[in-house]
Amino acid sequence: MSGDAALAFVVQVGLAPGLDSRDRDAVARGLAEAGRTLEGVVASHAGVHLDLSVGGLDLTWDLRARDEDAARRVEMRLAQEGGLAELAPDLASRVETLEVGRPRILASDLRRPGLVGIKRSLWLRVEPSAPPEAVARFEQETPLLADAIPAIRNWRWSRLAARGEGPGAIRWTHLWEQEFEHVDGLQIDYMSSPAHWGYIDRWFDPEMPERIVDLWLAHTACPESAPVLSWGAAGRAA
Amino acid sequence: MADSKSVGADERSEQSEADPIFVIDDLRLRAGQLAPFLEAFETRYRPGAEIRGQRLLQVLVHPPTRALDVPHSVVLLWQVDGIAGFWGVRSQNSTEDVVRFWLDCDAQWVDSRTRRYAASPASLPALDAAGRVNA
Repeated sequence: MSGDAALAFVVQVGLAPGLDSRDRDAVARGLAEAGRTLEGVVASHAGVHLDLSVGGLDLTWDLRARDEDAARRVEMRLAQEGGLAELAPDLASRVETLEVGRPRILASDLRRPGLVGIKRSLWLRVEPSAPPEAVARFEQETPLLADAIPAIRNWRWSRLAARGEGPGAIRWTHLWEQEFEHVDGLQIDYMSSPAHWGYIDRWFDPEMPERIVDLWLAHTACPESAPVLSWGAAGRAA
Repeated sequence: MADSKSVGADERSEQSEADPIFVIDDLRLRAGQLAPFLEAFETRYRPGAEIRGQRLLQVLVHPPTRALDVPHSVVLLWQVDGIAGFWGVRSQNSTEDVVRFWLDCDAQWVDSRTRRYAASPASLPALDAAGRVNA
């Protein structure tokens, strides 16, 4: 999967205040449709975050480009001032923020290709002062969670290129995405696994000397209507 | 992963509630810093930790004497009530007070330290099963 790693986009979408659930669903549908009209985009999906989400925005918008050239054009379009207004004028007044992530995949696996379930995304920022050897170990260890937690059916572990300013700016350095069949896989298995709380969490725990991850995380999950992590790929890569 | 706010205690495996989890803090102090460290620990850290659900079982000092001018090591052994207890701690420990205490430790009294979560070998099957409910 790493060969076409840069073809995916994961976008956190922040909505204008006061939208009800019907409005949010309508924006999600509108974004998914608008994405499909972008030249070179072969798949587009948007989902409203479940209430269990913490620290992130309101929706996740996934896109996949046909090739590298198309991906570059999509990135420029989304990250330019007024890019969304141009693409979907009727949505512009309801969308306040786009955080455009373009995953550079470190490792991934599809154990249930084609799964349409719950997509969870953990957006995180490794602190700039983190020692490189610690970052490397953190990057190597995170996929151990998928080995230990069978409820994680599909997953993708990526670096993100942080952009500090302008439209589409993001503060995040890494993105850890998983697909579960049901939300219980996330809420029960993932949170209860000793591989999580007893081992990997040390990179996140403010009491641990090993912590390298900023305390502000975005933990988001949304129901899928398309097999997002299966788009265009199959099998394990690292 | 600090996403503990999303999980309710009643959503976790009931079996894991019966299996205590231990927290082991192993601190190598700088020479002459045993007394100020213990004072700070008792006044600035322990009360809040107990409110968060950490039950202090032991404070162990090596070497077990104040008569030698050598650095001491301190082991703090805590217990939390299962997986729910762990997340109870983690949902409350991202505070300035907690972060400041450990920063002060590292700056003033402690040369190096580790924290590890551990359990009895007899608990491992139940703890592992808690992460495989929907396998």
